[in-house]
Amino acid sequence: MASINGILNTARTGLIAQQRAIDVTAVNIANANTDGYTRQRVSFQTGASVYSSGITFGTGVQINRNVERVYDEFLDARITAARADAGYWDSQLETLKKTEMIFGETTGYGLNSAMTDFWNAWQELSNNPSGYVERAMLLGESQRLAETFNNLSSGLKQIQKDSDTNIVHTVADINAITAEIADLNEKIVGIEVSGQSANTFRDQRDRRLQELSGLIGISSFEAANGSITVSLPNGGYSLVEGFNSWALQTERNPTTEYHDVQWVSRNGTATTVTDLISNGQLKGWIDARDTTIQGYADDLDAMAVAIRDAVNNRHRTGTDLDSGSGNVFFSGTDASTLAVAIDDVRKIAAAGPGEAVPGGSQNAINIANLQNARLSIGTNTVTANDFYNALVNRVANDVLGAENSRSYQSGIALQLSSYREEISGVSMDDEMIDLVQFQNAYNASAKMVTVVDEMLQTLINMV
Amino acid sequence: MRVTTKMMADTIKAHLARQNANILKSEIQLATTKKINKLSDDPKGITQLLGYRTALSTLGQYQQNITNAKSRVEYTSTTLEQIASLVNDAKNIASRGTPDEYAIMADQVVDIRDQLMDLVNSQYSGSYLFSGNKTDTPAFGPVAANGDYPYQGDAASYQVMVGSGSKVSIIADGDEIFRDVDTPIDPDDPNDPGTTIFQMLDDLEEALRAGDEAAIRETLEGIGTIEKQTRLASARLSVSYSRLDDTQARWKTFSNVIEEMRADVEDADLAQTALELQLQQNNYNILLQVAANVIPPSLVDFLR
Repeated sequence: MASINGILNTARTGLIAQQRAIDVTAVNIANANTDGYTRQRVSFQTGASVYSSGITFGTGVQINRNVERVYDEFLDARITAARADAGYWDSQLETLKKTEMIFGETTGYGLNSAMTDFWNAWQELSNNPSGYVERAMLLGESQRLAETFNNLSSGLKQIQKDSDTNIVHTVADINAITAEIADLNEKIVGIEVSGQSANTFRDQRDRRLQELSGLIGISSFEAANGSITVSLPNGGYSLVEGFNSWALQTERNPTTEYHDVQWVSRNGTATTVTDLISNGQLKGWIDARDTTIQGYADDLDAMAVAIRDAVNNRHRTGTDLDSGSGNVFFSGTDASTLAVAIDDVRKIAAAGPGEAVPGGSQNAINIANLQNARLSIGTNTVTANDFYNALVNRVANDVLGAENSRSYQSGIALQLSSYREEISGVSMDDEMIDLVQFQNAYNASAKMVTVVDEMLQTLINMV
Repeated sequence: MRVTTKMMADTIKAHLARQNANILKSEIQLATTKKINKLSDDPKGITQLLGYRTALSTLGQYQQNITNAKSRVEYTSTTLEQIASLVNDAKNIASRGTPDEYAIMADQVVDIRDQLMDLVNSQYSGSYLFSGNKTDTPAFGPVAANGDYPYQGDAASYQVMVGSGSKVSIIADGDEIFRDVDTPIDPDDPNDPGTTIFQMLDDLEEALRAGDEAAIRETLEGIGTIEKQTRLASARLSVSYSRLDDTQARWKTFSNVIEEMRADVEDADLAQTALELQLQQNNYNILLQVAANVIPPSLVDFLR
């Protein structure tokens, strides 16, 4: 029956619904610049009709208890994956940029010039084999060469240590996030089981998941109850399952002196998963530490050893100023320990085998000629210069490659977040139009109440 | 397509950042006047650059070796010329003297011998010129019991590294120049080393003092040989000198070419970079203008 009170009630539902809609609009506007915010929308529904005396009467409007998040699940999955790539290149680029700096070749004071000056000093000695100045200069240049090797090597080692420290910190961050995701799982399931919407918690969890993906390569899926399961793509080690999270830990490896990443099971057994990490910043640090920088360091070591052996072999055949045969010139086992083994300038063997001193210069010339000799360095047979230039070229290309990958990834990230904004972002114009619409509807509903009031007055006055 | 204000803001921010990075790069290039300021600026270029730098430095060293050797050769040449002229004087004395001048001439011969000894044992930057590799020992020692002046150096020559694996030898064997192997001290000794110029002069002095004209004539041939050997050594030096000179000229040309290539790879074209910077700044300004126009208005501004 369409009583006057029925109309009043219909107007009331309108007032409540529009007010709720304005409330949601207000939340949207307030979060217009919140990262990862998903705009919300109330959905209106016609109130159940009442059938009375052969006539159908409406009972106003209802709003869904579940406020809808305007959201594309697949797009978010792509953003999560892109974050992992971006994270990987972030940490690669950071380490490579440091590496690029320590080589210092652009200023002309790197290993390249130290080597050239070293060979030139031998030539200079051949010009005046008995000269004290030439001998002292040669020793100085040799020390500079050894120190340049030492510095480069310790610089690379320092970058590896920095990466190692970053690995430890990243693992701590990962643990904090997985614990938070497990916590959010619990909240979301708790709220949604009662049919309410846990939009804020879902937004938070999506953001945490993306952050996590930036740190470590993960695979994840959402269960029917709304909780999300996160695991390492390789080996299937779980990080979050239901309301539980598993922590990763770092353990110092006594042989490499760097940290291994371990996964700890419920009963406390630790499994090393360093090589199973597939992407994200953590993988970037691990690759930089164990592959990229280690590769440069190995090359440098091979080069230092090759120069040491080549110079030593020739130096031993020579004759020093006291007519003794030449001693070991360079000592040390790799780039970090290379040192000049001679401290007395008279012990430099400038004269060739059987040549008279102090005028003999054949050995100095022989050693100077090593500059263009093909040495066996690692698995290659190349001149020391060519080998080093190739190394520098590799570093430069690696940095450039990482830079390109990084900017490609940030391009993709921008594109994806643009797509996301297109769907889930808050458009001020949209919200204002909604606001005008809801406000007008609210005003109209209020007008309805006034009209019903007037109708009642009229009725009362009739009596 | 739905476009939100955040999208516009993000896009403009990203482009501003990119444009700023470009401007920074140009500024660094202008400040350092170098195109390559980090390895990754030009991986191929940095490799070429290192090659050029090594080549320039090594070629510089070769040229320095050569300059050093040339001054040694010049010094040696001058010394040999003086020696040749003194030997020539001695020859003239032996061939033209008259008996009444013999006593004075004998004194002159002694002077010549002493001067020759000084010249032959002369040093260049602390090293004896004609002692082979035994550069710390005078070439010829004082007279021995058999009248010989013993050679104290060795047969080595002075080596100059003028290129990779390429050397120029400069004569430094005094024995080869100042001893005549065909004039034996003792004709019966098969291992006789021959006579040095100093012993010849001693013989000449003795013959002059004795007035023995035949003996005087006898010394002529040996002295003549020494003069010839000295002139020959001079000639060999000038051959060495021109080889050094040619090599140096070649390295100089080569250095210039490489220097040009280095500059091509490393040095920034300032005019072009400045122009690029101007363009980038213009783009930046345009972008700012766009940002100012696009960002603020929304429906909010039009609702009253």
